Amino acid sequence: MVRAHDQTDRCMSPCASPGCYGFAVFQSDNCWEHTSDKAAYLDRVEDLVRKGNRLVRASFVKADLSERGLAGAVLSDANLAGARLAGADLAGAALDGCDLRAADLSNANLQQADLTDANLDGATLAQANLSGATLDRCLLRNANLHRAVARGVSLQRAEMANTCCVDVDLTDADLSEACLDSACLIGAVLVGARLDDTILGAAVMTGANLEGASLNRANLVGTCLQEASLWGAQFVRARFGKADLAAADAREAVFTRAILREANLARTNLAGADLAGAILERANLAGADLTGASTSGANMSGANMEGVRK
Amino acid sequence: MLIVEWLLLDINETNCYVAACASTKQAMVVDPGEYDDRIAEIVARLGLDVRYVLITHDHYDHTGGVNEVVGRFGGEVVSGGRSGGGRLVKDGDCVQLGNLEGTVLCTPGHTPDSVCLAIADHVFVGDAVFAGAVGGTASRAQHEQLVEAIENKIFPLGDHVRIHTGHGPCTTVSIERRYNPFFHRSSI
Repeated sequence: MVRAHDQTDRCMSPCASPGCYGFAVFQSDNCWEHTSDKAAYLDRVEDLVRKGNRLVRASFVKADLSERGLAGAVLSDANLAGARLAGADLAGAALDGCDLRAADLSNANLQQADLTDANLDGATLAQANLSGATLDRCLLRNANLHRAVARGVSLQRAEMANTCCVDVDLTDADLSEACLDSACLIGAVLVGARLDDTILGAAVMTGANLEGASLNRANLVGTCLQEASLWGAQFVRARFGKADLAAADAREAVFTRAILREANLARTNLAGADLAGAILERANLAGADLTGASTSGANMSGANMEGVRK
Repeated sequence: MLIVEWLLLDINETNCYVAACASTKQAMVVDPGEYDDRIAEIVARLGLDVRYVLITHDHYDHTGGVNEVVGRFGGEVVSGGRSGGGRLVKDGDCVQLGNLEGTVLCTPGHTPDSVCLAIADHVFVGDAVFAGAVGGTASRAQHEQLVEAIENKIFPLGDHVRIHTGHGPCTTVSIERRYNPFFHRSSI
């Protein structure tokens, strides 16, 4: 039998169905499409999981595991590319190193699951529950996390360029050193989140809630934070070149030594904010509220200060 | 695949990197402005074989730890013109790191000897470009020279390429091409 190797060197058997170029799924000679009695097959898989069997490196390419009970499953390094896992219970599952590219995990329960180093490029996690899960170093580029609940999730060094995180609850999440280049976080909740050293350049965060979040040394070049809530957030040494913070609520936020060159801060509420040593060259502060703000050592050369309240 | 580990040095908050070929574990240390025990920790933890010490430009906050790094781990010093020897590279030269081929990009302006190294989907740029800014220069002409070098050599690498800067946060070509205030055609 000729064994093929996919990009991650997982060893997969070809489907036994004549003329099929797919790969066999776990404990089957056939791919998902050609596996007979799929219901019985899935019952068997669930039973194996319930009995604590490890399914490390198993192949479930394009399998339909929707709504299945797989809580606590050990699926490390498994191939679930294109799999349908909508509504599946994967609470506490070990999915580290898994290939979940283009998988459908919408409404799935992934609480406390381990997805470290998993590949979720293009995956759908809309309304999934990721609270307490670990997704460190995972690939989530072009993924859809619309309205997902991800409180306390760990996404350290995750790659999330162009990912949709509209209305995601990332309260207390850890996204330090993650890359969210051009991601969409409209309405996202990031209260208390850690985003130190994170790349958020060109991200759209209109109306996002970042109260008390930490974004020290973050890259916010070109980021849209219009009407965002930034109350008490930390932006020490962050870089905001050409960012748009118009009408944002940044009361008591800390921008010590931040670079806000050419940033739009029109009508931004900066009352009580710390702008000590910040660079605001050619920034637009028209109508901004700087009541009680500290601007000691700040560079505001060329800034538009029309209508600023102090 | 390129493994990249980053450490923030105390000296001028310089970014030092340890980058390695994931397959062969051949590694390079980029801009060790001072020796830091975390370099040894990274090398040991990942089982790396240091082959190069890359110096993006000859400023003390990027070179101060070179001798100690070489003394501890070996490796050939690679630079665009650092005093003190090592391999001098020029525009287009190849730096082979295991299975990965890096290309030298000369980007004078911040210093005459400034070089960048493009490898896999990453580019190490030293002080040539920062998130939302460019490196400081001594004259208008040098500034124009630097901007031109970035536009002609860094930006064409592709929007997805990660830019590892000498100070401050990392960034991407996509972000800088569209939003860096120092570029003439900075637009979406």
